Amino acid sequence: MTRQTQGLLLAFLGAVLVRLSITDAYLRYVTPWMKWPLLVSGLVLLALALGPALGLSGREGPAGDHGGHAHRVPVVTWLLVLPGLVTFVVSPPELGSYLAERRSGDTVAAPRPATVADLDASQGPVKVAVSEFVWRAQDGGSTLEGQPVRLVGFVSYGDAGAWYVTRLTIGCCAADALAYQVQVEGAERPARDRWVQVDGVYATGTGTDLATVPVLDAETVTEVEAPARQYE
Amino acid sequence: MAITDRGGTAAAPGPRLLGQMELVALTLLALLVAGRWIAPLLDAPAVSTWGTIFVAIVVQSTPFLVGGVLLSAAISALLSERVLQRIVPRNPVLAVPVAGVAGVGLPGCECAAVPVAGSLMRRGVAPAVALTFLLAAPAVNPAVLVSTAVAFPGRPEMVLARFLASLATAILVGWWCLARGSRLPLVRRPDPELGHLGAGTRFVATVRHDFVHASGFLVLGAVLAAAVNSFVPRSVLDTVAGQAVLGVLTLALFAFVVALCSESDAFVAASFTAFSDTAKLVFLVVGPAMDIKLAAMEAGQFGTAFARQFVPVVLGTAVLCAVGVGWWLL
Repeated sequence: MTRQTQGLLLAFLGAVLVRLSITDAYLRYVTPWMKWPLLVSGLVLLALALGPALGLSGREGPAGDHGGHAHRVPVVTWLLVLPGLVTFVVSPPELGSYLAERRSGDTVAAPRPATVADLDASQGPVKVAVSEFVWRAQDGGSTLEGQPVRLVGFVSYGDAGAWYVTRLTIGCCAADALAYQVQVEGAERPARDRWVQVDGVYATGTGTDLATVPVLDAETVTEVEAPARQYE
Repeated sequence: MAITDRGGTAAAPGPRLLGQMELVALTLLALLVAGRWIAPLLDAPAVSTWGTIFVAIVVQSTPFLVGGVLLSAAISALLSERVLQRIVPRNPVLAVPVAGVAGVGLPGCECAAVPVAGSLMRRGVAPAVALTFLLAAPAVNPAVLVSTAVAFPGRPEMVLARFLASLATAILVGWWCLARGSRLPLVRRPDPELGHLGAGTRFVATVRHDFVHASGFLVLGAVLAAAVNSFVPRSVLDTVAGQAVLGVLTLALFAFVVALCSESDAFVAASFTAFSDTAKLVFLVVGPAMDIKLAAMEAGQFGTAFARQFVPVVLGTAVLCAVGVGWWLL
């Protein structure tokens, strides 16, 4: 691989990182705080790639910049084209029902905060995160009982016509995504990956252990736009 | 892939109409333009899930790798061999545990540690000491311990067990490397020949050289880890969850192939509710010490023959340390 080609591949990867970070598309893959590290490292890669061309890092070795190379570069360095090609050609979306349904065997023990505040449903249904609904149920469910709540998530399917309102959480990047699911009863199931807002009441006694999924008895199911941040 | 011109043989003398770079650039441009017709063919949920996880691993790791090569170039430029010799204890048997504890100070991911360990060796630090640091840094730093405490609320013994087992793994493997001494088939890549360049130029050239040599292996690891993550069903894991020995071995293997960041793997470990605490600890200790992405990067940095010995030794030591500490503490 010539030095110029190395520069091209570095610039391609750098451009991908810069573009992802300034268009918010990076939120499909990583957590919000990665925005600045991505932008900075993308700019560093662009500078490394363009440095020799702009005369910043001078000539390296007797062959100079005219296709010379000091020693062999590993063959796998060619793989540097892949992230850019996948990002621009496939443009992979946020993870959705495919992953959630494959993970439905795992019951996720939702981390709960140290102090649990009561829900206040005096002004209509309380908006509750899907993961919060799951840990409140695992906590015994007493803080959910009789409270009208509102969940927003995408639709994933279970066995025998069951369906779930689902959200994924990510710790570092999409590779460690965990799926939180609440089964919806009493409503027609929408198409997979459709975003819905479900108002309803917790079915007492469901989801209190890790072996079962909490159930929401739905009053209304409305289709909504996907939120800007799809991971909780 | 349309790229076949991979030899990188010496440039022909005289001007040419199309060099390698121009060919690659045109191919990339053609693929990007053709993307709108290619994309629908790939529009299966399994493929896009693979794509998301692949891009996610690369995007998450690249800033850490850039930080790692910047740090390693700074080590090369700023720390002379004399200074390093004063910091690192002269007796290597003692220096190994010191390097292990020093890992607490680099809150980065494992991708950053590989080039740093390489540049420490180039500066004359004993390989065993540098490798101990490589194993300890991603596993025992404060960011990892805090995230473990959050993922296992009310279980401080899990944090302590992870710290002790990871540190023990790093130190034991370091002593093993010391005992092997020169029989370890370690390829120490020489510094790029930059002696004639000024300090600033040399810094830029070292960063570029290190990144070009490490990043391809990172992408290779991400390709494989994303495939495991999106195509192997998790239910395979559940069938062995109840069995003590098989559960430990399965989670060790799983930690190796999914290659998660050490800062977030505790949340995934906490979700393996069917497994024993010791098996979860094995997952947490093996992952940062050795995974498919690290193995690829280490093969690139230190040579394939070295990786063939180092990878199984680290895996075995990590499993044994985690089981031992788990039996004692959990």
